[in-house]
Amino acid sequence: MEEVVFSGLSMMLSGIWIVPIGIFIGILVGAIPGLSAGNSLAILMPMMLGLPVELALMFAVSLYCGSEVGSSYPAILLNIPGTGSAAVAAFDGYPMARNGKAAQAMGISIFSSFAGGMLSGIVCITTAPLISRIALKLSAVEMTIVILFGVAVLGQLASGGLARGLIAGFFGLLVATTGLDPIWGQPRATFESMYLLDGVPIIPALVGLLAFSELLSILEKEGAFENTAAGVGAIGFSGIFSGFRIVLRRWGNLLRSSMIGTGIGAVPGAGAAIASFISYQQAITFAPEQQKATFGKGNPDGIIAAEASNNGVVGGSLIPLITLGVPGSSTAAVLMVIMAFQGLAVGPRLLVQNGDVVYAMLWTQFSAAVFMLLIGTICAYGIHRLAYVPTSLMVPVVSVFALVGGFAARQYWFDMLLVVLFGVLGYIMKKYKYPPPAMLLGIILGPLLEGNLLRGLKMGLGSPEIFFSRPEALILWGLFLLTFLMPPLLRRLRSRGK
Amino acid sequence: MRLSPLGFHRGESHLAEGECMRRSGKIDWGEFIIPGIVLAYIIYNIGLQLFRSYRFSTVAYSMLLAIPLVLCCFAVIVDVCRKGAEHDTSASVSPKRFRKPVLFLGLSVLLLLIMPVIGYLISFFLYISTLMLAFAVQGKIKIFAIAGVTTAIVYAIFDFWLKLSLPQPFWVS
Repeated sequence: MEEVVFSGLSMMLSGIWIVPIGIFIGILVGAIPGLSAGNSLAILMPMMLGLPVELALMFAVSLYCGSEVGSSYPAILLNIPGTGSAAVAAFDGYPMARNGKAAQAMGISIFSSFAGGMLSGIVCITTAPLISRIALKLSAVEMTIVILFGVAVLGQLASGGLARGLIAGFFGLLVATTGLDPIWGQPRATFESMYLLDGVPIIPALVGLLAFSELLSILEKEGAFENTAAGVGAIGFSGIFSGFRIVLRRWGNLLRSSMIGTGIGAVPGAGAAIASFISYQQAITFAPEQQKATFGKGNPDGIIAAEASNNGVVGGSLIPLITLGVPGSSTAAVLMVIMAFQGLAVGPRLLVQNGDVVYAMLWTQFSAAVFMLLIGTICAYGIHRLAYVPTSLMVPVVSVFALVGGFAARQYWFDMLLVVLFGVLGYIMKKYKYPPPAMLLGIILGPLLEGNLLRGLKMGLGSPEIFFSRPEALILWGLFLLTFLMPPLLRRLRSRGK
Repeated sequence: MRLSPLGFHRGESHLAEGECMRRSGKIDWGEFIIPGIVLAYIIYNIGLQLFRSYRFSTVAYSMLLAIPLVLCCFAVIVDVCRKGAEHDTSASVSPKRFRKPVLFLGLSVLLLLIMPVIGYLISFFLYISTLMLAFAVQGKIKIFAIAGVTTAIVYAIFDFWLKLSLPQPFWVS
C-alpha cells in the first residue's frame, strides 16, 4: 500500500510542472463569468486526451482548484459572481471591497481557498483507501443500488424540484441504452446511424451539455452584468497578507467550513454552491450574537466560509469517483471520462489496479493548493478584469474549441453535430430547471448500471429478489430511502417546532 | 390566489402590470419541451424494440427506466398546468433576447455543413469572423486578427501537435 502512495507522490513530483499551468488557466477561466471548472475541462478535454494519463489528471485537478479561487475575484471586486459558490463570496467580499478593503478580502479568499484545499486533500487521501476497501466488497447487486443512488441524489438536488431532477437523470440512463444491447447485440435507438452503434459517445454529450449549452445561455443573458468596479480600493501585497492573518485567527470557521465542503462534495451532485451556502449559514449560526448582523456587510467570516468550503468540495468530490466510480460533480464526471478514455479501471478496483495514478492525482491537491496561494496572490492584482471580456468575443472563440473537443475522441464529423444537439438540449434543460449534469451522469453511468443489473440478476438466478435480500443491499436501500424521506420530514418537524 | 381547474389564476385586478404579465395564468408552452422530448424518445426507443420483437430482457431494461420517467413527466405536466406560468414569462415576450443564441446556433449548423467541403481552417476562420460581425463587434482588423489567431491555435494544437484528422477541404482530401 505504502509503495503505491509513494510511487504516486514521485509521479506527481515528476509532472509537477503542469500544476501551475493548470492553476493559472483555472484562475483565468474562473474569472470569466459563465466559464466554470466543468465546462472549461470539457472544452480542454482533447488536449488532456493527448497527454499521459497522470499528467492529464493532474492538470484537470489543478484547473478545478484554480477555477474555484478564480471565480471569487470578479465576485469580490466587481460583484460579478460567475458561479453559485462565488455568489456567496460576494455577499461579504464585495462590501469589504467597497469599504476600501479589497486587498484584505482577496487575501482572505486566497488563503481560505488554500486551507480548504489542503484540509480536503488530507481527508480525501486518508479516507479514500478505507472507503475503497469497503467498496471492493460490494457485489453487482450493491453497485446497482449505488449507481441508482448517485443518479437519484443528483436529481434530488435539482433547483427545479425532484421530478425534473429525476427526469434528467433517468433520461440520461435511457439515452445510454442507445447502441448494441450488451447480451444479444440487438441495436437499440440508433436512428439507423452506424455512428451510434457503439452507444452515445460520452465526450460530445459532455461537451454539448456542459460547454455548448453554457455558451447559448451566456448569449441569452448578455448584458446582465454591469460595471460596479467603482470604489474598489487598490490591491497591494500588504493588504493581501493582512487577509492571510485574519484567516489564521479565525481557524475554527476555517476548519468547519472546509469539512462541510469536503462532506458535501462527497455527495453526488451537491457541489460547491450548496456547500458554500451551508457553510455561510453555519458561520452565521456559530458567530457571536453581536456579529450576526454584520454578515452581508463585509464580515471576513462570510468570505472564509464560502471559499474554504468551495475548495473543500474538490477533495470531497474525488472520494466517490475513485472509490465507487460515481462522480460527485460535473467536473468529477469529466475526470471520470478522461480516466475511462485513458483505459483506467474506473470503479471500486481503480485504487487496486491504477493506485499510483490515483495517488498522483490526490497528491496534486496539495501542490495545487500551494501554487494557488502563490499564483493566486500574484494574479489578484489584475485578473478580475477578465470579467469584462465581451461575450461577443468570447463565445465564437470558445465554441470552436468546444466543437473540436467533441470531435477529438472518435474523430467523426457526426460527433460535432452531437455537440450542437446536446448543447441545444442542455440549454433548454437549464432554461426550464432540469439539471444537465444529472443527464450527463445518467449517460456515463448507464452502461455500468445495465451491466451490474444483469450480473445481479444472474447472481439471483433471474430473480430480482436478490436486490432486496442481501444485508448490504438492504442497508443501501435504507440510506437511499432516508435521503428522500429525511428532507421533507425535517421540514415538517421544524415547522411544527415553530 | 384561486386557481381555475386548468391552472388559470383569478382575481388579479390588484396586481401591477408587470406582475400580471408573470402571473397572467398563461401556460409557458416551453415547459412541455423536455417532457415532450422524453416521451417521444421513450416511444421511439421502446416502440422500435417491441416492433422488432427483441428479446424480453433487452426491452425490459428500457421499460424499467421508462416507468419512473413517464411518472415524473406526468408529475411535471400536472404541476405546470396547476401552477400556470410560474416560469418568468417576461423573458418569452422579448424575442430580442433570443436573437444572438439563434444566430449562433444557425451559424454553428452552417459551419458543420460547410466544414466537410471547405475544410476546418477556412470554415473556422469564416465562422468566427461572421459570428463577431453578426454580434456587432467593432473593428474589422480586430475581428480578422482574433479569427486568424484562433484558427492558428486550433491548427497548432489539434492538427500539428495532437495529429487529429480534422476535416480537410475536398480539393486536398
